Amino acid sequence: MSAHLIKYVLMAAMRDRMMWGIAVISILGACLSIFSGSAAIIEQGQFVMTYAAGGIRILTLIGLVLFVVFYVRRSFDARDVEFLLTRPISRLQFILSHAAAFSLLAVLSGAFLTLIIFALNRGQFSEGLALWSCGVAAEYILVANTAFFFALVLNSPVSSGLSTLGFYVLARMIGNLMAIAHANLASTVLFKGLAYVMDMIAMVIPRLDLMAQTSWLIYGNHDWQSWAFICGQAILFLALILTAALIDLKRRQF
Amino acid sequence: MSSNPSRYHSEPLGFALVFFFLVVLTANIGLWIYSHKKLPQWANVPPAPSSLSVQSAFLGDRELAYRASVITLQNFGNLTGEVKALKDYNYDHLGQWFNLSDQLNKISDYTPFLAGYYFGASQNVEQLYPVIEYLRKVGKYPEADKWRWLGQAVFLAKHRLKNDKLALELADELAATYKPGMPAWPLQMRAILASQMGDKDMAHGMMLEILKSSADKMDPVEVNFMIDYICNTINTPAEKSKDPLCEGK
Repeated sequence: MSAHLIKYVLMAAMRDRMMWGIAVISILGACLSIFSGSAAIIEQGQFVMTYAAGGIRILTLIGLVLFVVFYVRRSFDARDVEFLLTRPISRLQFILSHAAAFSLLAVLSGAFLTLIIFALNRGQFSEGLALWSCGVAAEYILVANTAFFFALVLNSPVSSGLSTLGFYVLARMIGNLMAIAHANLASTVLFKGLAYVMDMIAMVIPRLDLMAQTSWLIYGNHDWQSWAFICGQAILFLALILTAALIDLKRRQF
Repeated sequence: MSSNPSRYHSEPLGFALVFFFLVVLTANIGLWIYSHKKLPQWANVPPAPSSLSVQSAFLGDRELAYRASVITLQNFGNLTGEVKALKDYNYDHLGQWFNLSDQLNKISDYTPFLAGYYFGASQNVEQLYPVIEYLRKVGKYPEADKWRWLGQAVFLAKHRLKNDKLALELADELAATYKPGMPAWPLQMRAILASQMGDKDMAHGMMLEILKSSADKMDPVEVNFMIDYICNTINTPAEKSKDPLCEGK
C-alpha cells in the first residue's frame, strides 16, 4: 500500500467536502427522525432511533457512493490514473491503497452515524450499539469498495452509481428474495428455474440485511454469531470484490 | 474594471414565442381548474400486505418496517386530512394489520396499546372481535407483563361486548398465565367477573394493580395515560378530589 496515495484520496474527499456533506445530511436526518418519532404515542425514543438508524444510514451511504464513483471516474478522465501508474507503484498497490482510503472514509462515516445514534440514545452505550456500529461500518466498507469496482469497470459515473445502489438494494433484500424462492409458492418449472438462478446470485451477494439490524439498538437481542458473521462476511466479500477490481485493472490497456 | 454584463439581452422575443408561452400557461391553469377538486379520498383500512413485502419495501430492515407500519396503523383515519370515526373502519382488515405487526415485532407494546386503548373504543362494539382476538394472542406471550393485554381483552369482552361466555374463557386463559410476582387479580378474574362488578370499578382496580406492579417497567406515557384515565374518566370529580393518585391531575 502507498501512504501517499491514501493521503491523496483523503485530500480529494476533503476538497469535495464529502464529510461535511455527510455531517449536514445526517444532522438533518436526525432532526427529521425526532420530528417523525414524536408522532408516536408511546415508545417515542424507540421510534426516533429506528427512523434515524434506518434513514441516515442510507443517506450517508449514498454520499459515500457518489464520492467514490465520481472521484474514480474523474481520475480516469483527467488521466490521473495513467500518471499514477507511471510512478513506482504496482497495480496491486493502486487497488489496495484506494481500498484502504475508501474503507477509512467508510469507517469515519459509520463512526459519525454511531455518534448521532449514541446522542439520540441519551448517551447510553450498549453492546447492541457496538454491534450495530460494527455492522454499519462493515456495510459501508463493502459498498464503498463495490462502488470502486463498478467505477473501474464502467465508464460512466451515473451507471457506476446506479449499479452500486442496485447492488445495495439487492444485498439488503436478498434474504427476503431467498425466502420467497424457497417458500414453495409454485411448482412450475419456470418458478423452480428462477429460484435456482436466485440461489446462484445469492452465492456472490453479501447478506447486508443480517449485518446491521436496527432491532439490536432497541432490544439488543444478538449473540456471538452476529459478530462472527459481520467480520466473516466483510473479509470474504471485500477480498472477492478487490480481486475482481485487480483483475479488471491488470487486463486494462492505457 | 468593467462591471458584469447582464445575463439577458434586450432584443424582442417575437410574437409567436410570447403567444405560445401564454397559450401553454393558460392550458396549465385550465388543467388545474379540472384537477384541483380531485383530492385523495379515504379508502378505509386496506388489506394488510405480507410481512415479507413490507420488509422488502424497507430494504430488509425489519424494525424500520414495523415502526413505519404501526404509525400507518395509528393514522389510518386521518391520512387524507379528515377525521374518521372508528365505527367506519374495516376492523377485519385492522386485524390483519395487527397480525402483520405481530409478525414483525413480538416484543413492542405499541400495537397492543393501540388495539386495547384506541381501537378498543369503537362506537360499534360488534367490531371488537379482531381486537380481542389479537389481545388474546399477545396476552399469552411469555415476555414479562404481556398478560395485562389479556386482562384488557377480558375487560373489552365483559363490559363493551357484554359477552360473558367469551369473558369467562379469557379469564381462564388469563389465570393460566399467572407466575409468581404478578398481582393476584389475574388469578381472581373469574371471581371478579362472577361478582358482577361494574365496568368502572373493574377498570379502576385493574389499572391500579398494573400501576402498582409494573409502572417501573412501562413507558412513562402509558403510565400517565392510565393515571389520567383513572382520574378524569373513571373517577367522579368528588372521587378525584379524594384520590391521592390524582393530586395535581
